[in-house]
Amino acid sequence: MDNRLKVLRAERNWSQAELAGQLDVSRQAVNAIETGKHDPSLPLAFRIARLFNMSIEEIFDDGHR
Amino acid sequence: MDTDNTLSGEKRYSARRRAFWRYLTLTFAAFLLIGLLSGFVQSAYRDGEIGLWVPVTVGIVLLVALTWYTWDYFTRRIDELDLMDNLWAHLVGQYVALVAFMGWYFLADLGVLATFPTAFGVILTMIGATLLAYAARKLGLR
Repeated sequence: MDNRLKVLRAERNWSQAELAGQLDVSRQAVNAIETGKHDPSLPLAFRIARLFNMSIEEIFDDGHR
Repeated sequence: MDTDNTLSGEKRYSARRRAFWRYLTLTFAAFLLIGLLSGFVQSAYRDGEIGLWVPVTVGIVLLVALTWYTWDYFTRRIDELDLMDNLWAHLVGQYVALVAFMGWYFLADLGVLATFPTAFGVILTMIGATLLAYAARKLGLR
């Protein structure tokens, strides 16, 4: 699934470890989500959306819009 | 696990990693102790020094500890990506063990192999396949 996580993280000048710490997941999880190798669960997607103060749809794109 | 929101994400992530490795180390030490204890109890029972209830009790304690650890590890200690990696790796391990057992049995039945499948051989194959699959997932082959 496409997402804007890497861009949003870069805009805040955060490392993957910084984002991982804020989301309480591993750095590998952040990397896998950014590269589209792992689609986050709904609870994690909500945590990501809350952290960036955006909606899930503004961050993730499943290609059906 | 550190949940202090006043810390930066990097520090929380470092604390999380430290807590995880400390947890793994303590768990490994605990199971090492239980393993030594069960070995001691087994030989004491063989020598007739203790009753059957002792190894049975140790076995039940081990089973309860393993069940609790499995639940704790998979639901509280690792994140969803690692859970997926573990589940995939164990599924691959199970399939490889099944195929190894059936193939080995079939070849032994035909007389191609000298022995029928042994528990040790099949379990070792399963562990090896599980570790390989887990390593592959960790290397990004998802």
